[in-house]
Amino acid sequence: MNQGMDPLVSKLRQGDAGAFEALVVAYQDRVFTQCYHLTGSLADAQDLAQEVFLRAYRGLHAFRGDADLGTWLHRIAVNTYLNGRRKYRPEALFSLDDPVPGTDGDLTRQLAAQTEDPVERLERLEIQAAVQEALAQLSPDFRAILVLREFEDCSYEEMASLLGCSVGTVKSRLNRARRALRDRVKDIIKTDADNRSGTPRT
Amino acid sequence: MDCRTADKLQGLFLDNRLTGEQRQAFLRHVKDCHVCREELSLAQDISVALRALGNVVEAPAGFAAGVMASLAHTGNRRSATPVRERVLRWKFAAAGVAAAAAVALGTYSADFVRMAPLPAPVPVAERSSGNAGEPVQTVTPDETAVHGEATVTSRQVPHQVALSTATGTGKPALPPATGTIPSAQAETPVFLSSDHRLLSTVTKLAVADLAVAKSRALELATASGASVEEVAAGLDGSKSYAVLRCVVPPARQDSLLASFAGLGDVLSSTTSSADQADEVERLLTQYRNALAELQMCDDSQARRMLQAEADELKARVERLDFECTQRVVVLWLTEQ
Repeated sequence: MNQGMDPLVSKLRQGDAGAFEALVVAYQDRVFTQCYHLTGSLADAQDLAQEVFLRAYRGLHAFRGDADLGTWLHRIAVNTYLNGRRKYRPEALFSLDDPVPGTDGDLTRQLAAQTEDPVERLERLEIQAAVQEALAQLSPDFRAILVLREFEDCSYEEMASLLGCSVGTVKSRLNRARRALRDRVKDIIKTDADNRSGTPRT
Repeated sequence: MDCRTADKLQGLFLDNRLTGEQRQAFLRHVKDCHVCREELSLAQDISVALRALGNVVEAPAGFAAGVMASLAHTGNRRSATPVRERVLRWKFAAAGVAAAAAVALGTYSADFVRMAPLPAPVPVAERSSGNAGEPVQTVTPDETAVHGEATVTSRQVPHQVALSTATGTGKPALPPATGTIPSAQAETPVFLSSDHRLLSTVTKLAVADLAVAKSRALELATASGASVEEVAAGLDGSKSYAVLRCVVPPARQDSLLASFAGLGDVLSSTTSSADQADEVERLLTQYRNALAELQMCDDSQARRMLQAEADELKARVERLDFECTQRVVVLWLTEQ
């Protein structure tokens, strides 16, 4: 991939707008997905992804030709998200009811189409809903690291590089993030269960 | 192994980062301890749920065009581009992003109605020039008057009035793109709208010829003093459609709607009112925070970013405030 991109990089550095457009087209889905994962809303993902490419354009001179363009863009996305976090509304995070444009269609439809035991499916959806809710309540630092690990499947080393910290910091932050998420999920499930069992009596 | 250690190792176990020995010890503990076993089971379920949320999402149609349009604008910022051309570029950039946003939001036409009360996407041109930490390029009202560009003129009004401060220096309340400004100066904006309700009408028309209807609609909107943007266009099933978003002075809304109705068969027309006071407050809070942070920040790159953020927030508040004094008419044209 690196090697294939090298001519593009040199064209980019010469200020070839066509080359930059090729870069945007080649990476737009990947960057957009990463931005959607980070912000949790399509509208915010759009703003963030736009900003990522504008920053990339301005920062082209700083790009080392030997690095991977995708990784470089990903790092810009994570940094831009973490630096501009107040812009993004956590309450907008991942609504299952919202249609998600993409090759797989919307999430709801995708979930409905799966063939599995109805009870298991219900439990899974319940956990999924609780996870969504819990994730939205986490701090951006925790959310970012969980997104990188679970959504993007980054290795510890990749996360350290993206976040500009040591692998040790990644391990401890990820551990704390997971614990925070788990505690919230438990609270949410318990509250839901209490609400359900409380209803018939009243 | 005790539960505390097991809890610490759980994440590493899930990520397959334990040594063989650690792994064995962890599994032995989990086998005997039902509390840690349940914790692990929940952690695995959560991991699966997270991965299911992390689908691949495609960038909306027009995304790359929006980026390129915005770059074309900012790249020529310093050159003496003729005003008219700058205006056209500005509109192009705004339309690119707006179209993409509309596509993202309007995947199903039923969802489109929700779009109407939303503030228009921030024009990329303004935002991106702000990002570079340089003055936002705008066209002065005089220039626009010369060229008769209603679109830009309407956006200039709030620029001049909306965020003038109560301190009344006669200067814009907002900081220049560089340098520090006392945040108090920006804390009491004078709004154009008293209640921040956004009134919008979404009218859906079936037309015989989309291109003809669209160009006629653009003429009608411009003639009535509305600012107009094409926010979406594409195919809905086999029918092509285009969506225009007009911001029109209240007194001219009815006549504009009536003239739009003459372009085809009215399929539906829905008027709604959305309270935007919270949104205005939210944007203002963010704006003040950005300014406060700017004052405390020494790093020049971070300052530029904060300034860009503040500029963008300012522009969004101004636009929303201004639009609340107007009427929003969204015209959805579908070819028969």
